[in-house]
Amino acid sequence: MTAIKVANLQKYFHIYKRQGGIFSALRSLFNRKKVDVKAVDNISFEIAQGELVGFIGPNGAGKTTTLKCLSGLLYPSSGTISVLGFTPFDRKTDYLKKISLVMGQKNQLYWDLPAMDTFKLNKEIYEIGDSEFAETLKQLTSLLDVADLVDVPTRQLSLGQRMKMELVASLIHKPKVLFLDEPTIGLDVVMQKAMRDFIADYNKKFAATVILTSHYMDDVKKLCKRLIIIDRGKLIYDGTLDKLVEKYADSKFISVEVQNRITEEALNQLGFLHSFEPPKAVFNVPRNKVNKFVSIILNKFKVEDLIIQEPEIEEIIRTVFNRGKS
Amino acid sequence: MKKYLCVLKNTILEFLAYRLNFLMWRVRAIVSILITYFLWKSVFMTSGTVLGYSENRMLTYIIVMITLSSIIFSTQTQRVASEINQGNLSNFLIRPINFFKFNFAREAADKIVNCFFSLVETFLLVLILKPSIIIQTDVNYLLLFLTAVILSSILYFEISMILSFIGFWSHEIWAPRFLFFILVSFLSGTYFPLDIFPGIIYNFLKLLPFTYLIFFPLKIYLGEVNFWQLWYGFFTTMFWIIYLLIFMVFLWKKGLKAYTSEGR
Amino acid sequence: MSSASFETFFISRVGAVLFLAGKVIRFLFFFVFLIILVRQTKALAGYDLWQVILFYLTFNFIDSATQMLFREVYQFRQKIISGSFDLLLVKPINTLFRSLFGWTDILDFITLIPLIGMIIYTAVRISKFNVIGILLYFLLLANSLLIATSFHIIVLGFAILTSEIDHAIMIYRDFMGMGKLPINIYAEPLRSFVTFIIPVGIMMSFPVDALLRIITVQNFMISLGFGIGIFTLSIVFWRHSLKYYTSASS
Repeated sequence: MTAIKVANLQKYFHIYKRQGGIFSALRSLFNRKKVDVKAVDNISFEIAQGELVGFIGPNGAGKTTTLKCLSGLLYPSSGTISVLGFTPFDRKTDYLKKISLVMGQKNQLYWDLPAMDTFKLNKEIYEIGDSEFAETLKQLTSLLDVADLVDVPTRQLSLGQRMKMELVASLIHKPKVLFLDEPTIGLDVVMQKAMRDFIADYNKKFAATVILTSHYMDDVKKLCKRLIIIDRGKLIYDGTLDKLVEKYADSKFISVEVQNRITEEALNQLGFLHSFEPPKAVFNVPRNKVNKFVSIILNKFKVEDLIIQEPEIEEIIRTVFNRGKS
Repeated sequence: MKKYLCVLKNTILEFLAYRLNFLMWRVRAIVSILITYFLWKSVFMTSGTVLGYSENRMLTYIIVMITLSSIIFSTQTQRVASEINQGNLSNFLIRPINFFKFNFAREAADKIVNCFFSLVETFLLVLILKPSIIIQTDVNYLLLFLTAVILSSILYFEISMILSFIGFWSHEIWAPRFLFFILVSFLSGTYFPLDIFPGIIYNFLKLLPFTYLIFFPLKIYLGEVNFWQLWYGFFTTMFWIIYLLIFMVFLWKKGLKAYTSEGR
Repeated sequence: MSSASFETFFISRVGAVLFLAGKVIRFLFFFVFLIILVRQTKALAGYDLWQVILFYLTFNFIDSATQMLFREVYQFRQKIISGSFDLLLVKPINTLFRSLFGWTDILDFITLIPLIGMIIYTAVRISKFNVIGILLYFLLLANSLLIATSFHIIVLGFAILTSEIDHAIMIYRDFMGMGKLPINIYAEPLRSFVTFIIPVGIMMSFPVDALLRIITVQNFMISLGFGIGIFTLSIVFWRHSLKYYTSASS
């Protein structure tokens, strides 16, 4: 069941270019040069109901822009978007009732009032029944461990607590699609983990489609089964993490623990030696040669222990970005 | 409908949450009343009539004017400007709630709170200062007065909202509002009754919407309008309400287009 | 002067210009209003038109000068909350000075020049003064600025203790507004309250009375006494607040 379908999405921004200097500033009052910036350049993908997808990319890549187009906040320059069968930009009431967008700095909670007042308002806005509201509230607040804070004025809460309350307010209507823009930014390590756990739990428990943007590798590793990598407005990769590793990680690291008597020269003869600190040797072996290498080394030497490791995800993604640049 | 009542309720709660601020603001209102009242009282100490008004009429004008200003010029719509500027508008767009109805509900809450407190303050001040003011007793005039006040509130809501929409195109949202308000307060009759101006100027002022914010309702209260003037006044008020409504919605659509094309 | 800062200067200047325009227009509106009003009557609380104008102009001078001098005070709350006040504390002697005058902009004072011009013109027009009157005027004007300074120091002290500042300043500004007219227009007991307890009368009206040579010796002495007294009090309070602050943890 397709929840989201994006075809040939493009989004341009107009930027008024102006050189530095006083005269330029004055001149710019009368005559500004318009430059088009392609924030999103021909992106297409499909997401099924219930998936948890991460838009990964460096800052300014176009992830947030894509997210805003999907939620209906920005209108596309060209291309089509369909979310739950709706055109997001129409912002039809029925559509808005089924989605939710959480952005880091933009808070919807009333600052001077307890979060509960915002929840109740949302209850009315989304036309949620009393018992359903109570039930969802209970589930969310216990998942996030904030049940006893709902009646505390928002300004008295800590940043972490506020973020949790924002989440409750954004999810009280059980949206089918949840858009999260940089959900872990600005949070400490403990809160980041709590946030990730919550997103994963929510995705499972409520069977909601979750799309999040991030430039943190940890979010990628621990949360997203499927990645869409965007850089400079272009879609570079769309698939699972494993396939990404397979595709872009040329080689694997093989860690071998050998017996003391073996010399560096002997190891070197095998080739691909990366480092040797007795009794541990690390080899960087091309993917397609791994199996052969392993059988050779096991035959040739008395190996105590052998570990095959993927390169760090960070490395892989960095490689992907660098490939995109060239 | 329920959701907008909820908004109204929450706005009132916000007022109450900020108690100290609220108290300070009422003190400011009282101080400004005192300044104006005593100035006029002093003037009348050596003159029987000033600008064609007797002491009774003028003091009534001043006191009712201050109470009215307190109600009509207080607005929640200035929040809109910073909501647009800081991108919080996105939170409204993403929820199934009507922007104008939402703001109208906030405004209604504001008017309710202000009405209550302004009337209480005026009552107390009249009790303490004991000015000889005219109390309108004719029901017809009172009903017309009430109608005019409600229309004035709607009119100012529109004007203020249009000012807030500057936020779509500029980061400078407070200074224009400040400047505009100074002009409006003069043109609406808060310094002195507008009919002291010579004919040409007065006729011009009667074409502007600002006259109908304070001066027109006041004249009704004082019972100093004939049928023709009432008709003309209400007609002009309605004209401006409708015209500014169209302009406001037009500006909103344009602004929204800019907002959703650039993103904040 | 780097041209980079001039550019950013330029963009926000639109707001500053509009704001200034607003203040000028507001000044003019009330000015015109006052003239129209006082012309209708023989005297306002015993003063004729030109004298009333002098009161209004004096008020505006003190009010504007105070605002320009102490702009930094409006930033003070941020400094306390963010903790950057601690950086100021390294040099205790300068702390107070910096907290008061850090944001003073010499350019602002240019806008005072027309005001001063008007005061001089009005004073000449009244021609009921002599050198002593002028001297007393300046003396009491300086006294008024001293009181204003003291008030701001006290407000700073409170900010250190409670990190609440905006309300105090707002109330101060509103009460000071009562001084745009001769203090005699207010009925007792309000008049005494607003002259001696909240020193609007002392600050705004007495200097003009001095120029017009109608101030009583008693009032003159009270003014100076009040000025010196409150200044001393404010310094003591400031020191106390600092001590309190530096003994508590941040």
